[in-house]
Amino acid sequence: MLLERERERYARQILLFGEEGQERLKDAKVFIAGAGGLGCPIALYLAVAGIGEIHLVDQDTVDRTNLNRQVLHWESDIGELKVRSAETKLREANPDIRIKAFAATIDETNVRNLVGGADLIVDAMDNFPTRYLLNREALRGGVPLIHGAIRGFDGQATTIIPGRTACLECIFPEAPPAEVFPVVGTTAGVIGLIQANEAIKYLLGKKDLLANRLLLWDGLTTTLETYTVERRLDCPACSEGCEHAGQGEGVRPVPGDPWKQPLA
Amino acid sequence: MGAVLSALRDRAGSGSDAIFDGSGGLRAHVILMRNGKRVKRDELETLVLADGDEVAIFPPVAGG
Repeated sequence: MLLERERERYARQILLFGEEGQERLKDAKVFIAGAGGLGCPIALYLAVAGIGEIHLVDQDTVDRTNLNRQVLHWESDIGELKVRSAETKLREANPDIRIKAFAATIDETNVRNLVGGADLIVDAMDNFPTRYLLNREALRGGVPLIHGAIRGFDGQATTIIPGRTACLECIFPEAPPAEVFPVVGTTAGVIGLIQANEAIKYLLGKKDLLANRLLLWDGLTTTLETYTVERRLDCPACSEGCEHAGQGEGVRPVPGDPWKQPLA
Repeated sequence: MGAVLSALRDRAGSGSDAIFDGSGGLRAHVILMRNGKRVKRDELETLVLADGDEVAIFPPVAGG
């Protein structure tokens, strides 16, 4: 049930998807991997949209070089853990939701525990090795993964539904080289909000996700295109019989199983 | 397909580094698709394009 002040806070979006939709968001638990350029706008917009529980993981502390794009971290936060800095802002933005912040490096030993119980994983990482780890955990647990990545004025995003769509390793079999990547904050904002929008749509059971579609954003020419992608039969992560591919049952039912029962 | 890549390499000039390595081959992480389907590296030279085929080639990004 929504509180009276929640009906007021979310009045404009309840006009869009009703109290039933808002309750779905309130019942949801979303795991955001990273509290940097992508993680900040993702967490902020999911928080103010009323996602009931947000889990945020990041190992880093705030550095001055982060401030051009990591919009939850401000000058006074330099030296503070990013997850603490983000948590403080998010609580102030929306005191009606739960935020759990973990200062940790995501690795093979903890990914299962960290992701455990989430309805949705949002990839806000800055490297492919950790993304591949999240992808395999998403496949194993049957939890959708919303991928995003940025560099310069360019960005990409896609939504992975285990068992139903191409996975991260189908689309990107080889990791791009690691680097100190140039980036402008607006790129992080554009891609992060596309990911947050996908998260909201998924939780509401909306169709037409970025499923089997790779979105490419070119901020220099202001063009946004989507390309169809498909599963690779020989994908080492999700092909049939592969140990990470889960039980072949597809996506784990979430409360109300929204993707199977779209709202009208 | 080989001819398309070769023309692209010539046209891109110094900007081709994002797509091609020092010996002129496609970098391993670069995505190459024809009509939405991934083109395998060992098909590059033999694949014949038809009128209207759409070729997409891009280096995925990794930052966050």
